[in-house]
Amino acid sequence: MKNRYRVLIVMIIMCCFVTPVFASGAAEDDGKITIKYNNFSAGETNAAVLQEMIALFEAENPNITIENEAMGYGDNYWTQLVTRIAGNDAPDCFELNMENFLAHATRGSLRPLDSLFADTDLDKSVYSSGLLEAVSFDGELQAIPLMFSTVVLVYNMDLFDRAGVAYPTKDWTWEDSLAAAKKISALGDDTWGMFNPIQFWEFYKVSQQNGGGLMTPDGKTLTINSKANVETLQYMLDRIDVHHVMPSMEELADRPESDLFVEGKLGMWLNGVWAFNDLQLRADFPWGVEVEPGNLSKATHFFGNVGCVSKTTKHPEAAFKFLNFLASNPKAVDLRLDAQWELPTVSDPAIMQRYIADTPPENKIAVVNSLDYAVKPPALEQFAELTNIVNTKIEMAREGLLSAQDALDQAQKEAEAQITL
Amino acid sequence: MYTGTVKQNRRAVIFFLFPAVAALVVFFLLPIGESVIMSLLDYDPLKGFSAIKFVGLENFKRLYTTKDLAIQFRHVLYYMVLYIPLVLMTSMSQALMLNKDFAGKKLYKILFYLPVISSWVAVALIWKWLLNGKYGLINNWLMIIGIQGPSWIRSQVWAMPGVVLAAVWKDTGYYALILLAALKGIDKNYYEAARIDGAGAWQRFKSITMPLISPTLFLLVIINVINGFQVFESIYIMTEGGPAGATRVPVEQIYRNAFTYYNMGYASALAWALAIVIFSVTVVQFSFQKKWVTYEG
Repeated sequence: MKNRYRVLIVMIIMCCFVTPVFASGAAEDDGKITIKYNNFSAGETNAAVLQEMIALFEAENPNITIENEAMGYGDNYWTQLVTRIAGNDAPDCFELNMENFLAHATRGSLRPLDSLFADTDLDKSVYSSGLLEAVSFDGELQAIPLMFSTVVLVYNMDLFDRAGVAYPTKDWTWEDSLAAAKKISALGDDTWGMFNPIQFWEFYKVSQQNGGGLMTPDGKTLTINSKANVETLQYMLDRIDVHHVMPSMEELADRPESDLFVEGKLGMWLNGVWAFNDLQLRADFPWGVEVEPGNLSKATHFFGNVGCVSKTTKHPEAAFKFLNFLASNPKAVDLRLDAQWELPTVSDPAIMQRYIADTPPENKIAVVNSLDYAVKPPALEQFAELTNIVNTKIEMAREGLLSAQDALDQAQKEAEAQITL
Repeated sequence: MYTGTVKQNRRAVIFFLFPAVAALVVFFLLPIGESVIMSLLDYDPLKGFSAIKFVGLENFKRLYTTKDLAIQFRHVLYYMVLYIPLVLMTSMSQALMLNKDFAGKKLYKILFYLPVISSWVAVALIWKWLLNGKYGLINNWLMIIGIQGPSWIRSQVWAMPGVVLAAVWKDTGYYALILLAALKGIDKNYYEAARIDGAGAWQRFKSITMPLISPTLFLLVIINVINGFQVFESIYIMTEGGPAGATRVPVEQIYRNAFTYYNMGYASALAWALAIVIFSVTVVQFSFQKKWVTYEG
């Protein structure tokens, strides 16, 4: 009998070695708080910057320790986060991009922050109002905007000079950019006028430049195969198939567009401000940026990363304080600007002035001007499904398997069957 | 020599088995059981437990209306038809070669096993370049013999064969090792007797080697069919299911539903449907084994 107990005790001890895997929650002793911050955008490039921000925060708040759970974007960040939330082991605060923010917000999985602003001495008016609106859902602030970026038309000034074309202006339309692209493409065999990928996100934005969109403004009806959208997709395809100003996937042959641009083989390229660091290091020719050309109207991409407080954290105030520090503390903002880690979300014009003055690119004000035309993805619970349906059909059109009309007709039919509005 | 009593023996067995059994129960059996329950629920992990709804067999009924699923099973069959014969042929030839003595055999053994221990991310990176339509080594070689190679993973038709080539390169060493062990287990006297009777190399291979390693080959076919139905990692890393969905497979659908659409219930139903298909195919394979598998003695 005694021996049986001994075996039982050994088993229990062995279980204890296994169970820490399931342990969760912040460690606490003597009023000290530990906050877990799960994040992805720092990556390798800005890991040291984030660590410096954390050190500054901890110096100012000696009772709070930040556990930096930094992961790469591709390291199953979203999967592990969802699993942890589902398993009631959510980090105290975490970073989301806009797309995933909407997925969380529409499902009510975030802690609303208005009451935390009301309960603390923190002031939300330090943030740009447009960004605050972007992180609100159902009339409540759901996240702290940490950083943002816009997508602009990046152009190689040398290629424009060689082709004898005037540099883009903010009034440029599709027609102007296509005319310039044709002249630049004529400069050489593997020289291309422009590159805008043919996929969902691009289509979603470009269709709005043409007066189209995926849904009616009230969000009650899908309009994927509207006349304006079909025209838009046809225009996107024609740039490859008819005008030959953009490489097909085969002609691109897995070369990153950034390489094509840096090698002086690409005249115009749509990209976000996150690409500037790389281009500053590698491009040995003058380059500038401008607001993306539109057609009937302008529409530009806006991306942002936000900080969310977990619904289950025991320390919402501390997590909230930390996220605000990352987003708006002057020292943290300086660090972000120095590292060019996207753009700070504070509304202080002096800060933006400092950013704009740091060139290249030429005409950096376009980064800010692009915000005026920013379009947001629809706040739809099944947005990921919609993305998949439309993207697959657009890719089939790109591969020449379907016409623009057929691709969007099929997408409309499938979306109507699967998406609940 | 073992001297313990039966009682002590039982205790030792329990003691040593406990960690493995505990891990099996916690990490495999419980989640499997949980997935059965989950397949009957409408469960969105972001909405939490309070929003869970019991939907009965609704998730399974949805499988019939998911048009893409049939297409994805077709893709997986295409993958298996290409992959299984090719990997068995290459690993068999490797095993036969390694069963002979030659200079530099030790070094060769290490080199041919290296792809097996390499991560899929690294393998995909190398093969994406090898298969590059414009600058890839494969197409350059094809060019030498006058063939204009396709754009491989950028092509609807050639993307899957491209993934298969990479997978065969990566897996050959593993299966060759299993076949080598089977070859080593064949009694040399059989070959000796056949030689005396005047049997040639091909005849010896056909009449001795193949029948005697057929149980191992059967095992490899079973393993490969099971793995084939579950193929995901290689495809997801190399093509992300593209171009235009040409390499989408059922496990990707499970992953997408669980972690992109947050439809855990439907994803679990999909996983169970896949498990049933795999089980059925394996049962059919076992029923046909008598026709070609020879068990010694």
